[in-house]
Amino acid sequence: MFKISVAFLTGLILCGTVVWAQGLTATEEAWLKAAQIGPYQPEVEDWDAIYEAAKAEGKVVIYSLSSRIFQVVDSFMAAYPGIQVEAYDMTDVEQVEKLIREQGAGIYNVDVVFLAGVTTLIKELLPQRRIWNYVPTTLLDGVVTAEVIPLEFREPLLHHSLEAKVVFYNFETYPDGCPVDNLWDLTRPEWRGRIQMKDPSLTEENINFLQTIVQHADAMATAYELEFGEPLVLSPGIPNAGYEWIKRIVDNQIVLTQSDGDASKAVGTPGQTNPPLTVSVSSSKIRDNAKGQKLAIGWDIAPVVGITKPNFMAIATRAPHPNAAKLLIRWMLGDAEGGAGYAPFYVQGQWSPRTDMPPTLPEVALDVLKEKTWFLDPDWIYEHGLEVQDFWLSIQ
Amino acid sequence: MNTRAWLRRRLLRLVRRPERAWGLGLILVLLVFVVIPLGYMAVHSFMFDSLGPRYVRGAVPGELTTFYWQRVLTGGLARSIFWQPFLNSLLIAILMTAIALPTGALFAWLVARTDVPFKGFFSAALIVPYIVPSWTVGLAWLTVFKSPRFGGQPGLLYAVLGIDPPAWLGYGLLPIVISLGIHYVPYTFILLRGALTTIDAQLEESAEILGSKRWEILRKITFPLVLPALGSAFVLTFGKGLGEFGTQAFLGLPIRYYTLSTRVYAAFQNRQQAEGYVLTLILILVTTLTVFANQKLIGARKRYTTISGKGAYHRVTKLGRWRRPATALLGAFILLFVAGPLGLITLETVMRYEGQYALSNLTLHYWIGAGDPMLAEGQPGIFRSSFILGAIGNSLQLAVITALVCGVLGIMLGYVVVRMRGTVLSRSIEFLSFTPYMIPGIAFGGIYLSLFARSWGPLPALYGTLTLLVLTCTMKYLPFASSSGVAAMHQIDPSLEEAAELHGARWGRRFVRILAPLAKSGFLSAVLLTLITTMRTLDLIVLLVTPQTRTMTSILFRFQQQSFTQHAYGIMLLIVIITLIGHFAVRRLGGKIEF
Amino acid sequence: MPIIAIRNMTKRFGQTVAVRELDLEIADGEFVTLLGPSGCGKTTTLRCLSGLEEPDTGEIHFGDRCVFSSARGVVVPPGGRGIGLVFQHYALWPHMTVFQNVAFGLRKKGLTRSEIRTRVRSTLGVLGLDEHEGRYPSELSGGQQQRVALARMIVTQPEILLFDEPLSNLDAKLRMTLRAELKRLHGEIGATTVYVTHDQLEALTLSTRIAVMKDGVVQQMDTPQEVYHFPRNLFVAEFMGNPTANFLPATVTSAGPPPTVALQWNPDVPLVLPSPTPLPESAEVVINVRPEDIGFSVTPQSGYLPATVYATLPTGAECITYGRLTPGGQEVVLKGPEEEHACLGLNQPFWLGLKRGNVFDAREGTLISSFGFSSREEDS
Repeated sequence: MFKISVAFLTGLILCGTVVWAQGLTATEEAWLKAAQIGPYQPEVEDWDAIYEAAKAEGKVVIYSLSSRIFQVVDSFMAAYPGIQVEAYDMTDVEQVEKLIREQGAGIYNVDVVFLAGVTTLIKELLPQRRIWNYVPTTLLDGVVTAEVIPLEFREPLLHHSLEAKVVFYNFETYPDGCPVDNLWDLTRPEWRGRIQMKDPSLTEENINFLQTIVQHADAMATAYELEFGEPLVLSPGIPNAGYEWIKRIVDNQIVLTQSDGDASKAVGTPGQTNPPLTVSVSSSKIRDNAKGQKLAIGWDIAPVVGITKPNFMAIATRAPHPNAAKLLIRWMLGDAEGGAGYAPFYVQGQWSPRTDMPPTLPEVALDVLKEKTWFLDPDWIYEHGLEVQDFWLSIQ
Repeated sequence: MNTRAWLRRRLLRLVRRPERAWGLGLILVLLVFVVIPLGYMAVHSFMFDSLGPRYVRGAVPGELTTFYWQRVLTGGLARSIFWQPFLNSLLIAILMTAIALPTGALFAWLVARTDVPFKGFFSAALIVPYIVPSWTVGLAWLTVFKSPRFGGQPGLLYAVLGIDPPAWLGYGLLPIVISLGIHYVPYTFILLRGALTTIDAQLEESAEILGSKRWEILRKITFPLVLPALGSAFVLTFGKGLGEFGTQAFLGLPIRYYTLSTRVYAAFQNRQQAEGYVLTLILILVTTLTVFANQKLIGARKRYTTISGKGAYHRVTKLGRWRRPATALLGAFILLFVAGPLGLITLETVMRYEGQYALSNLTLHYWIGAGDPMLAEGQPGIFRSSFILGAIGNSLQLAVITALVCGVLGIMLGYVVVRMRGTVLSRSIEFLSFTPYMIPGIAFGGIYLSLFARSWGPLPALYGTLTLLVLTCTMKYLPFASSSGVAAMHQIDPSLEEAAELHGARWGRRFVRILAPLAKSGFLSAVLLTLITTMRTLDLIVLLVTPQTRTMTSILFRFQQQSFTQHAYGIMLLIVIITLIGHFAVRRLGGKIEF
Repeated sequence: MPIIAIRNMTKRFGQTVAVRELDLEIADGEFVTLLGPSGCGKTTTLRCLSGLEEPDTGEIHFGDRCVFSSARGVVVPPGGRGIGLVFQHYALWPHMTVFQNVAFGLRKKGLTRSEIRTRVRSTLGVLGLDEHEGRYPSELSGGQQQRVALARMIVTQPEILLFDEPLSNLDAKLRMTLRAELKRLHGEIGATTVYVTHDQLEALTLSTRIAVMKDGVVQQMDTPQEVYHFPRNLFVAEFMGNPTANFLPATVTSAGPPPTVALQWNPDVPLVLPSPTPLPESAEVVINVRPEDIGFSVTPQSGYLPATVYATLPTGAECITYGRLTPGGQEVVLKGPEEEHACLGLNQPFWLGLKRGNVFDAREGTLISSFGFSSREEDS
């Protein structure tokens, strides 16, 4: 009796495990065709026709990693009467969980996902065809997309914007510039307990930061020599300079916060005599200076000030409102002056992939950012990332 | 005996006595919603999850493996993933129990047996820590002891007195243990106060006549008699200490002080499901062991044979010169740990910028202001935000529906368990309905997410529906409801129902006319407990809520993550107020908190 | 035709057999008591009759109506059997007033409100509860609660009344009063009554017939006098009577008639039993004599056994005296008018004689013969 029920239970559960089919299903094919997405996207899109079709759809649902999406909702609905936007502010993990669960349950609810988890998106959701890359052929101001957004920001997934995860310092306390010029400075005793970062076990972005440090272990080793004038001696059992750096900042009592905001406030609060520094805090926090914060980015830190991570937009598989989704995506890419759809993100510390849009930090355009930070490498992270994650666990 | 006659009799019996049919129905429900989730978790802990291929080259998700068990228990990371958090959890559970049990016991004795004044007030106020979410004290603690080194605005201590509190005072073991210990004082208080007032006074008086001193009576007579109640309090408190999530997350994570429950959360958060299952199963195992150890130590006597209806009048112990200190102690406890935290939290919600304790900084913006892009990323005030108001509506709906469903289920369960006492069915139902208590909320939510998100047999896909939340909360809080139901049914002699049956009253009429009115207080008690618990539940539903089904606690957690402190505290205050209103409303109808 | 007939009924609870192959017939208008120690199956039998419990096998007939048959799959629910039952703890519904309690069973009978009111009031009147119809059970005394339970039972005019130890929770005085009331009620209504009790006095005073039960089997079913004086076996003899009867093991030394026996404790005194029936030579027997059937003398008499006084317990009208046979020391109880026993002082020697009693087979425990009864010797 017991054996039978165990077998029965196992059977049930195995049946329940999602096994992703290899080829396109007929339903997917039909959806792609009707929505004119993927292989069926025309060379030139007729935006009037898309708007008409979108009005027939009536609404569009977007999951967003930022609460700023609500400002986009307002401008979009004003520009395209007849289309309702349902926007949800959710973390990356929540969006991914929700998408997978919903699709597993045969519920096709969301049209656009606006999120950041680079490995999950490019190595899992995209190959599993839970989402489709959609790049409008032309943008709002009529320019051809391929001419203003470089290929690397269109494929495999369209970038909405890029953000850096950086070292912040308090410019009121340190008017002469960043008190550190090398990531290895942070391992010095004077910064003991004075470095802050959002807990990497809570967010993919910060574990990505640590992973990228390890990926660039050679550069880290070079930077050590630059700082201390002698080759780095690895601690026992530590395989390379990247891991060594992680170990040393933990030994130096790095403070983990629950959010980037907690960390940036700790640094930027005015009137401090001994403010801490951050690592891997979202560069867009610099906009808090408008609220009186005294935040500055240590751009000239060697080897890098941090990493750059993309924010993606994609259309969910079998989205019920694909035309409205297309309109919304085009709207959110803005125009050469920024534009209402991009305005909430056209802030310091955030970069549009559009080459025709003036950077918000004039001295740091996208190509400068490439030198000052490391861009995330989804392939490397997919292959080796969990080793770094485990290492992080092991030194708690 | 011919089969047709036998079948006929069976059928007639089913119609006449519904407990069998109900029992079978309940067993089915428990199988689907308790046993299968456990089985699912056990099986999946032996399978590669979607991250499997990234750990082990060539692994296929769904393939059988012992990888995760080895990783958690014996691998190179076992210490960080499991053993250290496990020890932390144990330590927290032990220490918080060491705070909650003696404090609750002392307060129960003072209120039940001595001439301490304001008993009514103290009785009511001492239940409040249980009614408010367990992390209330934790958050209030942060407001006072937050060090500027830990990000954001500093706490009251630094802002006002300029004292930078040491790390161990602000975060980690000490504040966790204190907050949780205080939160669970009411468990012991309620249980022990009940036991102390129902013990037959003659038992103590006979010892007194034999010349025993007061202390000796307390130690040799009273204490052994209330031991079963203390045992229950211990299990409830200790089990909660292991499974509690909110407080441990708020006060532990910033200094990387991990516990088993925050590890489980982190595992699910990082989509490491199989690892999460392994940790969950271990957590269940430990909690189960606690329950059984308690039963072994104290014996299976769950009810006190010593309680007789009469003689419950106890002479009041005169405290003499200790009366003032005792009153002061009770008063201080309530001021510091009940009124204080609530007051602080209220204060925080009207401060434009946290940590700036000045009159000019006061504002009602976070309650009634329109969005201001400079404050909380333009999040409008609580009463102006459709997002927050929607969550309030959802929370109320969830709590009320869950409470009612639990109340009805509890009474049905109690009926079946008591009327079929001694049968395998009765025992199985009682055991299975208690099992969810031993499963930590975070894990329970996780399994339900995996199992019932998609359509499954005759069950429709429940993901993103309030039904899923109701289902989860109902099953998780069934132990409260079933123990209330069983207790209520114990008090109704079967003959009361039989007398109606003799008059030809069918089951429906018997239920409406006889059972329901008599079980009212048990029903209300179940409703009240479930209502309170659901209202403030976070760990259970944090994985299940979706934008449409967001609850007050879930957006509170999100606001906390985004450091929208005023909003978070405001919502917490609302939760406390709503729960208190619910508590007093149900009290008015005749329900009270019982375990 | 008997109004209640139980045929071959067996009821098990798990491994224990509560009632074993019971056959019982009760005539219309009878007051039958099921008497026995706790666990003898009397309450189970009653509950099977009421339909609250379902037998495993057997049949139950009420008049020409089959209300239960395991073979045919007939199970009439309790409400359809036309019975009334008073529970040991009354089972009054605490959340209803006296009136509501009594009226409950009438509401289903299609009576108008005023008819219900009239019937409830008259029933309450019969039982002297007029004043209390608006009260709740918890506001009543034990005796009043008992009367409410009675009212609730008889208001629906059932043909069969069932009582499950209804007086066991009351004090002695009240029990006496209510016993009288019950007997009157039975006389007035004339409904067939089955009454369960472990109190033999209640059984003796109330019943037309008593069924003594043990281990799920009826030991003897007879009129109270028959059961008291001529118990069919040692169990019944021991169970009936207060204080318990005397049991003297003996050996038959001469078959008779009249037979002679030698007591095990005092074999030197040959004892002649005044019986016309012979007893088997040298059989091992137990002589059973009730305390009131023992005569005594303060001087030696022939056929009397010597004894000493152990204790005397006067109760007012009569006196119970405990003696010890000399030699041997076996305890003997005798009962008589108090003034006669007054002459017996502590440790005083006296002589006692067996006036009438029963002889049981020591091994089988069955009745072999009786002695000393004026007209009934032959019957035994």
